[in-house]
Amino acid sequence: MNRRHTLAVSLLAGTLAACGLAALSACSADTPAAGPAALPAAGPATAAGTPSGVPVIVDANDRPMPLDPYLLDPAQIAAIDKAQSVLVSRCMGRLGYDYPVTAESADPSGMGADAPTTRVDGYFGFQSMSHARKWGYHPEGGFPAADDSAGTHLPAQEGAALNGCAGQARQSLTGSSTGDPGDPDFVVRLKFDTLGKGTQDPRTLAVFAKWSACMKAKGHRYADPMKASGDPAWSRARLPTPQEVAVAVADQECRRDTNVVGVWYAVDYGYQQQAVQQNSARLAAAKAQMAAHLAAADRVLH
Amino acid sequence: MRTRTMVSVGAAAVGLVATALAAAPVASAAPAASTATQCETNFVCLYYHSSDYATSHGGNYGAVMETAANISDFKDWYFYKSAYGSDGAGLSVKNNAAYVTNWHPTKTYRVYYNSGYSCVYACQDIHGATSADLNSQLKNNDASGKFL
Repeated sequence: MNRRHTLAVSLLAGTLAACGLAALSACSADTPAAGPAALPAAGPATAAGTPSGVPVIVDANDRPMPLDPYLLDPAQIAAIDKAQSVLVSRCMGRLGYDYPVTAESADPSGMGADAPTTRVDGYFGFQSMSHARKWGYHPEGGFPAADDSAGTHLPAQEGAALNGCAGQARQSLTGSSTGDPGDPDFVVRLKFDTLGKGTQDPRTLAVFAKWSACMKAKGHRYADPMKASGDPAWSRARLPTPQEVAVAVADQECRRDTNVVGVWYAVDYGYQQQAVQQNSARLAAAKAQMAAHLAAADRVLH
Repeated sequence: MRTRTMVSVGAAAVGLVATALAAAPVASAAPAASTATQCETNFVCLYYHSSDYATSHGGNYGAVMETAANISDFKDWYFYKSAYGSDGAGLSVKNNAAYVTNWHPTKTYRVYYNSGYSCVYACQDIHGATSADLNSQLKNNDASGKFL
C-alpha cells in the first residue's frame, strides 16, 4: 500500500514539478483528460488523478529529470575533461614533452541538435522526426570514421611521464591522485536502476505493446522501441540505409500516435524522484563533491 | 563506498603492472586493437569480470579486450586471455563486458548502452585514467564505445 501510494504521489509530483519548469501553456496542452496520455490500468501507480499527470509529448529531451542535478551534464563533462587535459599538457611541458590539449569530439551524445542539455542521456530513444528522416538510428553525421589516434603506443619514458601527470591532474581536480572527477558510482547506479525499472514497469510495457502493434501495422515487427533502434542491421554501415530510415520514421509516427515518450517519461520520472527522496543525504554529498570538482576545473580553465 | 574502494584497488594493481611493462620497447605506431595482456597507456581495456567479482576471487578480472578504436557494435569484438584471468576468452564483448579501465590520460571513454554511438537511452562515462564497473541493469545493451 505504501509503495503504491509513494509511487503514485511521486509520479504526480514529478510531473507537476516538470510542468512547473515548463511554459504554463505547454503544460496545459500536455495534460489532456483523455486520449493516449491515459495511463494503462495495470501497474503500481494507478491512484485516482495520476493519469492526468502524463504529458502528451514526442520529445522529453528539453524536460528535466530528478537525477539531472546529481550527474555531470554535457558542458560540465567537457569542462572537466578540458581541465584534465590542460593540467596534463602543462605537466608534460614541465618534463620536456610537447603534449597538446586534446579536443573533445563533436556531438558525443549522438543526438545532434535534439540532445538534452541538462543530462547526457536521452533515456527514451531517438525523439526527433527530423533526425529519423535524415539519419535513421545513426548519430547525426553517421558513425565517426575509424580513429585510432587515441591509441598510439608511446615510448616507455613518455608513457610513464603521462601516467604520472594524469595522477597529478586527478590530484588537482579531486584532492586525491586516485580520485575520480566523473559521475559518482552510486548515482550512476541509481540512473541505471531507475531506467531499468521504468522499462519493466507495467505501464511502460503496456504502451510498448501499443507501439509494437502500431509498428506491425506499418510492416515492422519489433517488441519495443529499443529493439527497433538496436536492430543489428543498423550497425553494419557508417550511414543509414533506406530500410533503416523507413523504420525510424515509422517509429516516430508510432511514438506520436501512442504517446510512448509521455508515459515512459512520467514513469521514469516517478522512479527517479523516488530514488532522490530515498537517497537525499548521499546525493547531497555527491552534489557537493561534484561542485568542488567543477570549481577546481574552473580554476584551471580561467 | 565498497565498490569505489575495490575499483581503486583494482585500478592501482593494474597500473603498477602496466607501468613496469612500459619499460619494454614498443612500436611507435600500432593498430587500435592489440593483444596486449595488460592495459597500456592511451588504450582502454574491457574485462569479463567486474571489480566486485575480482576482489572476491583473487584478482580474477577474466579475459580482456584492449582497444582505442571507435566501436559501433561490440558484437564483433572478442575477449582474449589477460594477465588477470582467462574466463570469457573467445566470447563476444557485447553483453559480456563488466569492467572498464581507461588508460588514456585525458580522454573520457564513453560506453553507449545502444549500438551506434548514441546516448538516446543511456551512456556510462569512464573518465581518463579511471576505472568503473559497467552497469549490470542494462548489461545486455552495452553495445558501442569510443573516446570523447
